[in-house]
Amino acid sequence: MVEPRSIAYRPDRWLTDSRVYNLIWMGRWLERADNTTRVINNFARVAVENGSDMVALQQSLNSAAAIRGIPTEDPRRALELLLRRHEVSSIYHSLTTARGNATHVGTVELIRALSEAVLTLEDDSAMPQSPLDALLLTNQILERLSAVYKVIDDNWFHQEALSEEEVYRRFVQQQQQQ
Amino acid sequence: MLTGDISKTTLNEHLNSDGSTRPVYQPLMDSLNGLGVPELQQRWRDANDTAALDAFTFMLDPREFRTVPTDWLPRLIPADEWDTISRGVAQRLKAINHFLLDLYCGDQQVVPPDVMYSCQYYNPELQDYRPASDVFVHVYGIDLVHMGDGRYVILEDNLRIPSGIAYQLKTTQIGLNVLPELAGGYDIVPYDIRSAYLDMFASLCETDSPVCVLLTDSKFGSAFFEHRYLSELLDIPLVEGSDLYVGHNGRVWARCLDGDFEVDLVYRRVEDLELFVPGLTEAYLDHKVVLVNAMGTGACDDKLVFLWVPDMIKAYQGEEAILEQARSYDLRSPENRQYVLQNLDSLVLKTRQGYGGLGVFIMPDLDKGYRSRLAQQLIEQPQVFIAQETLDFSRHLVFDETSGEFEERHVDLRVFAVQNGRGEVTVFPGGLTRVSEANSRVTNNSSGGSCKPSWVVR
Amino acid sequence: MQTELGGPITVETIPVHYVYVARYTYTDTVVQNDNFLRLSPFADDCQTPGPCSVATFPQGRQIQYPDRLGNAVHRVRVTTPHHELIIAATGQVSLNRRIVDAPDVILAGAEHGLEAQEFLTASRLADPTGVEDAAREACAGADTLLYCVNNVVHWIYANVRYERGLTSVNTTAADVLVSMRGVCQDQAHLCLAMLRALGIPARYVSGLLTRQPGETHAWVEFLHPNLGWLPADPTRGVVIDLGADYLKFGVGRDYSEVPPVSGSFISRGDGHLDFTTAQCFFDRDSVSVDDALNLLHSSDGVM
Repeated sequence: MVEPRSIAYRPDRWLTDSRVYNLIWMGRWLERADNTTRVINNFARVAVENGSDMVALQQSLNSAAAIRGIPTEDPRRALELLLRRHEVSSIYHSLTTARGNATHVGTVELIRALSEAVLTLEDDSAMPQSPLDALLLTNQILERLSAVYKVIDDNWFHQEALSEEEVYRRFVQQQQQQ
Repeated sequence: MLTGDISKTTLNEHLNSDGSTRPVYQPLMDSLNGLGVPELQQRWRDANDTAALDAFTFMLDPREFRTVPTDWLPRLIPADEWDTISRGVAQRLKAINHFLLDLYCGDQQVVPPDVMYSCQYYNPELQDYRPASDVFVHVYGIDLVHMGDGRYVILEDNLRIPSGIAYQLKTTQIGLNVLPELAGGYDIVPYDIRSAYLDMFASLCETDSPVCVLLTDSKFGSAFFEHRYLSELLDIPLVEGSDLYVGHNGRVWARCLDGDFEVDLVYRRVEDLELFVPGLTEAYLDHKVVLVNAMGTGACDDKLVFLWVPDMIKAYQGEEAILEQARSYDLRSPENRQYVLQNLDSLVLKTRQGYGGLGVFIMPDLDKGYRSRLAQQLIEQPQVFIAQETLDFSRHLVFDETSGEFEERHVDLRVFAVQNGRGEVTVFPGGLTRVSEANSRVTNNSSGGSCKPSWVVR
Repeated sequence: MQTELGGPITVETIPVHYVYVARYTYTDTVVQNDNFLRLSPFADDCQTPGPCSVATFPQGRQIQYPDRLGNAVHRVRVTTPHHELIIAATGQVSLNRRIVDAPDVILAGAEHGLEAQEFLTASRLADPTGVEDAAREACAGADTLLYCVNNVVHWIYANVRYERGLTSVNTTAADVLVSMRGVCQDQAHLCLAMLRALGIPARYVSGLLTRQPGETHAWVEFLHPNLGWLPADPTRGVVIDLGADYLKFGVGRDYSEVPPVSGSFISRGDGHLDFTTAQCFFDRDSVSVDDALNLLHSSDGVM
């Protein structure tokens, strides 16, 4: 049997069930935010390079929105839906939910890094007006997300870090045993 | 509603009664003047941003990310005033703990039996159960108001799961980081919550380095910030109810990916333990786990039992109470009922079991219709209420960063203390100052009030 | 013994054994069940309690204390998970049958001490405001205490029809005055409100009918300036001399202060009173919890 204290107080911190749960979901929401940001970022870069306007960008984002289950009756709103408006699939929602999970997972550095990412979308009036705006905004979000990953790397996992896959695998395994 | 003239008659923390600045506030006033309003506005925004980034929240609605509204202007308490508070709080905590032991394991003669046993939070199953080291209340929160001239009056005790100590720390930390200039000219009395807690935990357990966990009601709970903060501060696992279970050996275990581990002490921040961890009560009664705070402490949280705390101090400490408490009326007595009904308009009604500002009715601040409805309820169910004198307690400057103006609001002071297994009490200097909303005397965070840092200064 | 003023004479002392049982069932597991039981005989001149006890299944921890009105309260907290809670009360009490030669007194200007005030004013379920007209009608011009109580009790006995299933534990005296129907508890509440409206302090009594097995019963007591509290039962139209027919568990300003069972439980499901009954024995030397369970099981057998 493992000595309890060594588990409770090991350097990369205890992995209780509820913590693992929050860790997994934090990872999933971060993944989703990251993914959506990169899609917008890519379309915005293409739009800037081709010199196309907002309407064209919105249209090209339409399919990206559709894939994420966001209704697209109004093609002019695809960008804001993806960024902030949509209640489940927007980057903003993904990031705030990830932050909610992070408050359980800790540490405060991690929460702070995630909050910094949330801040980029906190201001409703800062919605991009041009493809360049969209490019800059998503660049900023990606930067902040990198900062989050760095914090996780530095402060959380140390050398004995478990990969998310490994955490998930063990979690599933444990669930099956019970 | 409070009328405008109240501000003229009420004590302002930074002023003497003649309107001159209290000496203790002089350096602070000078620093504020030195910084100037535009700079203050900027710093206020910086501090608010820091609070938001660190998820310094008090959630009223689990779906809404809500940072604690904070006024970063510190409240100052001179060390000699603090000395009285500190001694008074320690005396009271010891007396309450002594009483609880006598209630459950002895033959207490202080509080009438019908008051004691009809209390919702009295636990019959704890009769004859001695908690670890005979201490029931390990973490104590007490609400005080300042009446001027260092005279502090107790409004209520918080004995079950008092919250706010992390808010005390965090407001002070952020405030000092963002506004270091305000500390100029002051020697702030330091304190060490981490050592006091860890020492208290260890003193309650038989092993030298016990495995302790902090039990939270989940990240959707209102004070979750504090749970996470303390878990990080004390470096103890943060667990939800589903993480804990009672194993075959009757001990409490935590589910963990690398193997479950046995828990010696649960610092619980939930009320209905059995609902979160089935079997925990039995494990506790079998002395297989230590609970902080112990079970049964709510019996003294009752607003009616509050009336007898000065008698507890007399009975168990053989002393007079150092701190006075708000004059309260036991409505079981017909004389008191008559008096209260005649003077209802100037009193505060509280329900016996209320907490967090719920069930508190400040009659002078209510409209006539509401008052008469309460009077009717009082006649019909006097046993549900107690009445308390309405106190005209102090106000403090707050800074509105939007308008750049200073305003005055009522403030109270929640002071925290711990009692360890050796019976020693540590009172943490300063406490959490809670600020009412404009035109209100209710200062609870659950009721939407804000908070501010409090320093004890030499 | 008779006082110079007239008053109660104890004519006989009758030992009675009683058994009470109730079963509550729940739709989901209950993890904690905390109940206040007022199921032990009240101690006063009319009755002297002998050994009495309450029990629950599953078992809980219990304490006993007198509440502010002197009722014996058992508080039982069950922490064993359960879907069904059985509460049983058993015991012995000596009923002192009293013949009262009560002097009547003029009602107008009667003075009552502060202690009686709470039995003159509104309580949650018996508010004198709103029943004044009916009270005046019922007392039919009587200007002395006993005459007045007698008239009110008989007015209710004659006019409020006993009917089950229409009212609940929250039905007020004012509600009863509208429907003019209800059970003993409702009749008692209306009686309380009317007596209070006439300036007579009155309190609610909860207990058992000793010669009538079944549910608990409710009646009232009114305050006589010289003789203290005297009983009256509007359900059966009886005043003062109740014989040995009544066993008193407790008194309060109305039902809400002396329910036989009150409390709270923690569960995801709901609960309801599945079955309750009580029975008294004049011919037994003892009763036990088993007698209570037998009452329960014999009812199951019928079903």
